[in-house]
Amino acid sequence: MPNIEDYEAMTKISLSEDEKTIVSGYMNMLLDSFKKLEDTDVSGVVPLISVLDVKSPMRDDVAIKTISREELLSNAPEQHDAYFQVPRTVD
Amino acid sequence: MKYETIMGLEVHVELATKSKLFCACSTEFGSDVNENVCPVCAGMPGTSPMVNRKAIELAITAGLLTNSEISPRITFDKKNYFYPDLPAGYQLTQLFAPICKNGWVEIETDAGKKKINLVQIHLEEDAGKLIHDDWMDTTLIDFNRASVPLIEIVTRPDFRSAEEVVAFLEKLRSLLSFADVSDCKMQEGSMRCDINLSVREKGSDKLGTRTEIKNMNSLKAIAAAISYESQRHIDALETGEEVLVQETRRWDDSIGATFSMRGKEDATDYRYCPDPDIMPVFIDDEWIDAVRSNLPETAQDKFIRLTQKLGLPEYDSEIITRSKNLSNIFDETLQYYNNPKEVANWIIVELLSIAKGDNKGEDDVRIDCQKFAKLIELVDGRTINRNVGKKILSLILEEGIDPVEYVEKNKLGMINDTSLISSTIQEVLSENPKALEEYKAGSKKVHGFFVGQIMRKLGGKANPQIINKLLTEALKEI
Ligand SMILES: [Zn+2]
Repeated sequence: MPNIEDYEAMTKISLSEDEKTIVSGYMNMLLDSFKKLEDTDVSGVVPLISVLDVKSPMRDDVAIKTISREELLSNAPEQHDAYFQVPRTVD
Repeated sequence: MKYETIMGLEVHVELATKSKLFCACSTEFGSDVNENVCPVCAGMPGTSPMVNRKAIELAITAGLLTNSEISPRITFDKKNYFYPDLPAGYQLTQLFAPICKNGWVEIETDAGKKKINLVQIHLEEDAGKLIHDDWMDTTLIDFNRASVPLIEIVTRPDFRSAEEVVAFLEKLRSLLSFADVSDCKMQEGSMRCDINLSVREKGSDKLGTRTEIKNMNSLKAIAAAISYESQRHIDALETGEEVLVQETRRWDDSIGATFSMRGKEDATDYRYCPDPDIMPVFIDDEWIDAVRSNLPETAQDKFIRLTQKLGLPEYDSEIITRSKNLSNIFDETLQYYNNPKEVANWIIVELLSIAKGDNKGEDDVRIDCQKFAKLIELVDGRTINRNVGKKILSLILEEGIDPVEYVEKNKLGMINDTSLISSTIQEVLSENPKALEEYKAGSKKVHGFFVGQIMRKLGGKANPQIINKLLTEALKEI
């Protein structure tokens, strides 16, 4: 089972030592609940993608401009020369 | 050879659709920053993706061309990760039910023919482009490429040499570009690949430590990177100085080496889950049959047609069928002037050499095929000579002139008038008595001198064959 530091890294959320204790407790309760699923025999059951029994509709390949760039960028907290601007992020 | 290199590829190919995978934004290459972005591909809350039928069809085409099984029911899954190149916080891809499985592609190298097996082909969306600005200490994002449809072709670890990898990518490019699945331009990023590589002692059945070289986009760099990385593995195995770790590496073309890409934390978990906003897409046999019956001619089919039906040499056919663009020019020009040999000749000798001079590849040459055909016909019918033809070809490419009009207007037509040529021959012979004496004394090279003189008098426009014939006759009578 991953430890609490792994979850911190995955979710990019830092916790204090006290919070780690509390969250660990909740996480373990949750994981215990999900363990019950492991006892269920699901062999041969197709994974449920949707409760609706429908096929995906599809669109024709036609390019349409739906909004202007000004509109698109109007919600951006920061922009620069028509680019969205975010804190420096290097992979 | 004590060691063998084992490689598998993940090849990303951008599909040639007009619109994106889940929205109607244009996929045009080279648009202004953020011009082709809408609320769906910007990941706005409350928007709903809608699948592009053409993208599914192109992926089916890729599957048929690679002998794959096509899945009857496909779904799309979210791959969650924290990186701003995808605004929704996840990439839509196919983990649980990819569109194609278990295909294979036959390649040919100097070592012979070989089958490369495919694990699967799946559909997914491309990411946006990030520009890291050191000066402002920020990252700038252009989402024009975000959600452009891609297929990822995943092979089994069947490759043993760089030649095999290059042959596979060339075969893939030929198959996919001839069927208009993608333009497969590596330099524009519409085809790129990741190489998984490990080295083991020959004869061993244990796999060595595997490294992955990411985002390769030129065949030359791929061959160089494989050679470098194999040697790095062999050195590590031999000397033990460097310990190999399973990691992702980046090829630096200017230095000619691979470098570790650190920073991917160990706890990476993409939390794949089906996207509840996209219902399964069903692909029935009827649809697959329709795609199959519309499959265009492959490069291989075309090669057979050119060599067997049209009687072209294998060398010419090979050059023309190496590029979808040249093939198109050939077929279209042939429609206007049905002389396969001459058309092939003009494409290979003249058109490609002009393109080369302009630093253009065979995929980038553009010409009005109707004008091209007229030009070839003018030279072939001896209305103009070949040198004039070459000049006119440049003018068609540069200024779009009409060759027939141009020849008339500039009086470039060859002189086929035998009486004019005959009288010119007589003039030249009487003006050059000394040369004539030399000829009588047995000097054969004087013949060429006469031809040159006659041609000059006729402004270089006379038909050389007729001059030759009439001159020989005239000299005999002397
Ligand atoms: Zn969009």
